[in-house]
Amino acid sequence: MDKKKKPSHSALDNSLWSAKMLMKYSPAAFFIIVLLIPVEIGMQYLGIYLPSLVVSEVAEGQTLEHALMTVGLVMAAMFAGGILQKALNYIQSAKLEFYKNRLTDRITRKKLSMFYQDYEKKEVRDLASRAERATQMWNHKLPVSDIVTNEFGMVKNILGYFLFGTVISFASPWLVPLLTIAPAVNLVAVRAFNKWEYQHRPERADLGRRLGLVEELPDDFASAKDIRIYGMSQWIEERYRELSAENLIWKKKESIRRAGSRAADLAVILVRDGGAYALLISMILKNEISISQFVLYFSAISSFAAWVGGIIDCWNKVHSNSLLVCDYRDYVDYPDQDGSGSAEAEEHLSRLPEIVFDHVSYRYEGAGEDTIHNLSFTIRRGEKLALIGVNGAGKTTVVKLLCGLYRPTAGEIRINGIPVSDFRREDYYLLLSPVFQDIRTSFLSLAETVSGTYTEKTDLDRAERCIRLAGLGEKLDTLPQGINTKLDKRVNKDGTELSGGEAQKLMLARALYKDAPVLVLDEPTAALDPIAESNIYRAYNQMCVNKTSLFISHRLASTSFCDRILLLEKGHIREEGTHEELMQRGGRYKEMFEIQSCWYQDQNQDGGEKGGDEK
Amino acid sequence: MNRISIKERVSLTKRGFGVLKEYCPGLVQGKALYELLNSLQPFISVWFSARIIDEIAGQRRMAAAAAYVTGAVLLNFLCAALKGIVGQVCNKREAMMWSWFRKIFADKEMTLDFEDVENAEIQRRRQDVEENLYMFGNGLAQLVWGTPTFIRIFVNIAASAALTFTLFLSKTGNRLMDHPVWMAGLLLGFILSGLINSSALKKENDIFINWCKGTVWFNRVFQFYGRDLYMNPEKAKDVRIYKQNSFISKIIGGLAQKDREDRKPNFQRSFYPALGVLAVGAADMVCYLFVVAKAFLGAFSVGNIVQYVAALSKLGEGVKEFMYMLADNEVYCLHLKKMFEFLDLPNKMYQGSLTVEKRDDNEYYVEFRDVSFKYPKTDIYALHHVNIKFKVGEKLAVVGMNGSGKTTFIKLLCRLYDPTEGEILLNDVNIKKYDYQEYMSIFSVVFQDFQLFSFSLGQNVAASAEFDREKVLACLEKAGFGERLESMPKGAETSLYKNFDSDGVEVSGGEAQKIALARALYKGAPFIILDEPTAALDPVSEYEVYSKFDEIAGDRTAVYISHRLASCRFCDKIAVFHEGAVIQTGNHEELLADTDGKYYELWNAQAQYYTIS
Repeated sequence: MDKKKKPSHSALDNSLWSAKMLMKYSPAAFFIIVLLIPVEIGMQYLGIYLPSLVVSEVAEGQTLEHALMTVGLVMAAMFAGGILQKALNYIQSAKLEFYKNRLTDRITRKKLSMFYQDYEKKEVRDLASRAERATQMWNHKLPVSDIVTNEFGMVKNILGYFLFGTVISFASPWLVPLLTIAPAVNLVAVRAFNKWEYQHRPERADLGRRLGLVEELPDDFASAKDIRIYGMSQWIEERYRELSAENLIWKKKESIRRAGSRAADLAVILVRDGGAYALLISMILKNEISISQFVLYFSAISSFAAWVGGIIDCWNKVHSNSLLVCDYRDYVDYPDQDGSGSAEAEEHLSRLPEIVFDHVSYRYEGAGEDTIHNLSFTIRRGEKLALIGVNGAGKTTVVKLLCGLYRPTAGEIRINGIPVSDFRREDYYLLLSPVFQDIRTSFLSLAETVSGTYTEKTDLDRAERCIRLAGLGEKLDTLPQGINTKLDKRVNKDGTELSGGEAQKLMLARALYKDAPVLVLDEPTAALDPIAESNIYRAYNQMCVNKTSLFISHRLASTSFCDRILLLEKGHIREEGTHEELMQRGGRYKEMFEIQSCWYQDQNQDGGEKGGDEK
Repeated sequence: MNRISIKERVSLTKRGFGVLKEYCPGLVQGKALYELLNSLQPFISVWFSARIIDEIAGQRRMAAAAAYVTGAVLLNFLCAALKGIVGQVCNKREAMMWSWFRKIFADKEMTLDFEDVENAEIQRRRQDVEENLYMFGNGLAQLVWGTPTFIRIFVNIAASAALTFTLFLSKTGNRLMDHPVWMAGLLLGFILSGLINSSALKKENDIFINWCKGTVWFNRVFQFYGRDLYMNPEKAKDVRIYKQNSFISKIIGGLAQKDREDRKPNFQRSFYPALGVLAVGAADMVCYLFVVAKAFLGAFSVGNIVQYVAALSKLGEGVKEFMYMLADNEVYCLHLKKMFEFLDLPNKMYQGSLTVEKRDDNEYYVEFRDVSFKYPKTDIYALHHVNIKFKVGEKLAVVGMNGSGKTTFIKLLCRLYDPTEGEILLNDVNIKKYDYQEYMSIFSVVFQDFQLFSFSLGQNVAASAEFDREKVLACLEKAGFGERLESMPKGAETSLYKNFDSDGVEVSGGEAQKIALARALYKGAPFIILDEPTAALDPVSEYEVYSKFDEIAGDRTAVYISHRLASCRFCDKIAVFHEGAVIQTGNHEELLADTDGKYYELWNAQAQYYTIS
């Protein structure tokens, strides 16, 4: 990172922004914070006033009753203030928590809706993790609300500065600038530190993330097996040590710089204390002030530094939090690319769609060559197309392009003649029911997973039909809560865990429930046993009624029930046709099919023939 | 809520410090030293100010006043400078603290019995403890932060007591005011107010603990959609296309609503500390008025007034904090207790001590003798009376439907679980009697859900930080990864995935499977177990694995689990699992001859699609 990076928003801008957000999401917190300012300043003032009051009452010949009365009154005011302060503080922190949750919510929404192609980029994911840090309570620090408390803290300290400054200026007017200039030097040093910190932020965030990954490795069920069998704990330990050492070096640099930035503070203490004592003593010797005034001024001077320090400290915190708030805003405001078109999905929902890839190329960011190159093909209305090819041929990229998750680098994809980019993205998604290769389920119930909405809004009969059609009926019958059983035992105490095969079937059920006009299955049978696999093949025709579909598989058996086969190789089409045509052509397809079927041939004429008959 | 006895609190605290000493060296000591300086500093000012005031209000000796001023200024400066240095060291350590804490859990997790790793209950408990720690610092971090608090309380009470001691000894001449009962009375007042304060805080804490519970769950769900989603871009695809985003938003909105209601206790909470402030404040007030009265009667100098007033407010603070700490230590003890419960989970598996005989001829026999197995807390047998024996060098294919017990069989064989009934024998000795690590060393396994880590390719194959380059390359070649390896910029040093290294390479599922296979080969154990090793491979790669299987396995005993029954063709023996039992064994021809058998059904379900017509 040699480029000098400037924060996208100034600290002032972020302060105003967060005050606005606070006003929007929790006006109560806003008012409490404002209310607390005079209360806290008043408390501070009474704190320095009290000793001087006692001295003056004693030294200046008041009656005991008078003295007890005044001191008692002042103290009563302090306690009332203390109680008020405590209570308001509690309410404020609760309200701020609510405000934080609203902001977290925005980040989550952004994550859920952001264009997938952007979302997948490492830099964006890094930005997301930094933005997230801004909304997470970590080490009792919470940047999005800390910036608010500190900006108001700054207001408080500035007001306190003026109040105490006025008091001190009664002693000697030029004390105030003297006491102010010294800490200002400090501010410059601190700013330099903040700048340095921001410039190195990405590297440190990256290191932190890597360290986090290593720390979390042992928590994973699947890794746990490998770690034990291959005795990997030492390896992970070493990686941890390496990263940890690297991290320590950063922290060291950081704290040395931080300490350096505070060095000016020390000089200030010497000058301030010495100067103030000398001045006040000389004044009292000249009888310009009384003893009680001496007490008042001296404590005002000592605590005056606290106001200046408070201003600097709050300024600092506003700045360091502001950097994280920048990340937050950058992420939340990350431009929503693509999908702002005007085409409506509505009319396409009830039609059998035709899909055209027109000279489509796609290159991953930073890659040297296209993964998909100048690819053109058409999936006709209601056609069942099989897409095959060796690992790395670009099949999954085609799926992502078709699903609108990626935007072609060149060329165009059209559905019913309308370019995909003309649709609002959310709208376009309505047209698709994909089953992806990598399956992740969440902690919802079976019904909710399948319908993608609350149980009450789910058509439970249809959900069950789809689950059964996908071949998950037997499992469903064993679950005591049936279709309402929740997944993920870690979140739900009485939840269940699905095996890989079962999860795959559930994803298929979800696709069927959605009943969109385009069905895309990417390796839907990889984790299934032969009988389940065969059942899916048999049910496939039923699944594809009134749909245009794409079936991707390494199991060439799947081609037998598809209308047409595309053989993809290195991002372009190598062969195309029906099973019979391609077998006759004797090209790559025939070769692949024979390779896979050879194990099922010879010797077992018995089985083979019977199987053939069934077909 | 069950209270923890004082004795237990002491031992928990001791142990907590022990853990901190081991994982976070120097952190607590540094923070304690810092706080000692920090809390002493104000008393320097108080004492010197009083002397200076006395001097100017009294004899006005310039030399003495100058000496006091110099003393005050220099000591203050010294304190600040020392604080700067100690603080710098502390900051550095404290910044690492969270990472060190994670290490504590990671270390335990890696040595846990596998059964406990898969035990959702235990994992939930761990998660609970960890989340409480990271979010609120509950437990260990409270100990780290609490130590300086303790020091501060100690200094505040001790120093202010020392500075106000003379208040009670000074004589006014008024018998009523000079009576020692004042001293006792004021002390009692402080303690009483402290007690009121502490019981108020206890109530507050109870509410806080309950609130933490709710919030932790809330955060977990948040985290699921927050961090998890960011870690797994795979999930993000479904979320978009199935419009889960609006659903999830609604769920989170609902949770936020619930969360808002949960906050009511927070308002209740605010009442208790206020009550505490009131009690302590009242005691303070009596003290002050006592000082005023005595000063009026001429018991002490003006300087002392300032000193007593300042010290008394510190004393009040000290007592208040002390009482708070008494209440607070229960909270951290509770969390420490939960943490130790996790850290103390015993390794229940019987750990034998026999060494596995290292045999050059790889003559290892394994036998399952009437083995049955139930997963913990379930009533259903995952395996039922399994009897099977492998011959040395034999290639065994394990087939069956999803959920028939194939993977469980492997888990038992590798001793990730112990059988519920029956026994597993290696060379006629129950496998429990072998040293666990030794026993593990005879297996190379490629699990269905194998994991590769975002480190270098070579390290992944060797499963260690150091690796033998030649051997790594040879194994990758053998696993069919050779061609891809050539296109890798840094060969075996290339990082996998981009999580760690932005120059890392992404590998597809099929390629990952080949790397996992290479890892199994690198280990060179006499048993090689492959669970669905070709699920993600294309027909060409699959064919390579099949046809080279003999070469890959060599003279090792191999177990091959697959839904691709083609694999049965090159194995010597096939075991058909059905509903947790082995229902058929034999070679392909024998089993296929039994047209009523399960094997026949499975085979035909698949083979029907591969007839070349």
